[in-house]
Amino acid sequence: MTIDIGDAGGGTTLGFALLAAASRASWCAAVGLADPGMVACAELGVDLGHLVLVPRPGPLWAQAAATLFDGMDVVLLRPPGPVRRVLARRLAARARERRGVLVVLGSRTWPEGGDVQLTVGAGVWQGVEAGHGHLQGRHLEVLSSGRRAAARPVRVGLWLPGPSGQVVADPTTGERSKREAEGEGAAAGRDLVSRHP
Amino acid sequence: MQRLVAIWCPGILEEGELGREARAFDAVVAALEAFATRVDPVRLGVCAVPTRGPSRYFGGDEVLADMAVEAVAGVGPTGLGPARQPAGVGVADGLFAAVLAARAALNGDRPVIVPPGETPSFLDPWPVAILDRPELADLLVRLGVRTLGGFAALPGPAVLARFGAEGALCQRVARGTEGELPGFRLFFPRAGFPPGNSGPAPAVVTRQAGFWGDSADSDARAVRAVAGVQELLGPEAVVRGRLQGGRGPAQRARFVPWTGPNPGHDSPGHDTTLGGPWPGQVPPPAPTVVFGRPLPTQLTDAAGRSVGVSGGGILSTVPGRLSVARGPWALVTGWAGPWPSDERWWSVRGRRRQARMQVVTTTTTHLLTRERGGWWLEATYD
Repeated sequence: MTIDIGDAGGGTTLGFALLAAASRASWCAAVGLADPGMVACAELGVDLGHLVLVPRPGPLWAQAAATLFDGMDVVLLRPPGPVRRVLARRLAARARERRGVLVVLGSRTWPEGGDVQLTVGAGVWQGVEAGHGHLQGRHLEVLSSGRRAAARPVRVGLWLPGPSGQVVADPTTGERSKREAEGEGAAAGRDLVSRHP
Repeated sequence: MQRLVAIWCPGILEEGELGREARAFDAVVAALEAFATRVDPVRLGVCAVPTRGPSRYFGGDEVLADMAVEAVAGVGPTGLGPARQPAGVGVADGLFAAVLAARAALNGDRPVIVPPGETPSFLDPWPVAILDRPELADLLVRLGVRTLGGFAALPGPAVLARFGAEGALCQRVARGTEGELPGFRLFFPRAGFPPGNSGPAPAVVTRQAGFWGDSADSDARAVRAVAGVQELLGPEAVVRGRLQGGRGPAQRARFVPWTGPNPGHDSPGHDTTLGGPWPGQVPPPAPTVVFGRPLPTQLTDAAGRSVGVSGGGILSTVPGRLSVARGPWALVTGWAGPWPSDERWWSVRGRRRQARMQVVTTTTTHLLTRERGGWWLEATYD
């Protein structure tokens, strides 16, 4: 299946968070993220030993991503620019065929929405004032919408990241209970990935 | 397995037309026979002496190796060939490892002595090409297995099934349980050394736990997928991240070539520098985008005056606007720091005085570094 994440701030954090579950169970990859923050990635729960990075795939980025589905459950992809519709469909089909999850960062480059679209609302950083404290966490809302089973839009409040770097669901906002929110937002990938053994 | 002193004379490995190399080699063997009862002329330019009797008699491997160095030096330049290179002397278990030790000894001026039982770890970092089986090496590298250690760690039955009896024998040599490669005496490998160096690569020691068979089906699939991408883009295009100790987010991780699945390698605490203390380290959460090359950034107050940092870590004015790489200006809505960090204070040349600051703007949030009188975008909290 395909998930696309909106371009507003916080997309990379959400993308890493979606890799966490897959990295603990099997393998995942990140393609086209030229300068990934590995410390953040580990704080978000990703097992770096099971994350394959192709930071600068060049013009063959789509082939690289397609090839990775031979062995990766989740491929996080940042396309270098607008993607042709044919190519996007082919990649999505490849992910479906391999029972993998394609997570696209930057929905502006993706010609058609994924099965699930995650839109990140404007985040507010906590902990920083004029010269005091330090960044402690960012509170934002993620709107999930999509096709078929994901058709009903869901809005979830999240700490993305929370004070120690992980994603924390915020029970005080959103339309669902904390437990459901976690399943929906913090690790949508966990459910998606655990579909197939 | 037989413990051996190997002598490697790089100047006389090839036979010339005048036969001088063969005569020089005879002189080397004769010099060794002066104190060793058995000298094994492995091939032109390479010979070996079993250490068992002589070491006990003369007082240890070190003494014996030094005697071999002296004896060979007494012959005159063993490199009667063009380079007049000195000989290398090495001691290890098995001929294969002993000769590699002798070759490694050419890098220093002392014999290389691999202690008894430590031959496997000595062999570990050498590239698989040293086995002089190009097809085997090629396939192993495509599977992400680049070193003898990685090859040694593969399950034996799988190697036998995949590479046949000769492959299995090569694996036993890589494991240090078999002393000699078939064909070794005639065709000692000359290829496969790291460029510009005849010693073992200081490569990451890889452990290929769980590869092929047992529970590692997903590992095997991952290896295949990565090999496909490496074929497409080149082997260096695929990397993985490793954490290490450091102050800034760029120093706290590095990217290493993907050489195969090695679970457990990245467990926290694997790197002894991880635990710190690292004064000046910015508290978590860490930024999700860390630029390999920091971008020049302008940070000014509302009136357009550049923001400076004093030696005591005090800002000269209130941050108001920020522009990265001459891009559009964004309004600063909050900031934290600066955190001064004086790196490598013990080193005059490597010393770096820096300060870091978190800056929140209306569009995004950055980690800036102040160094050499300017601001740099080091990372972004995306």
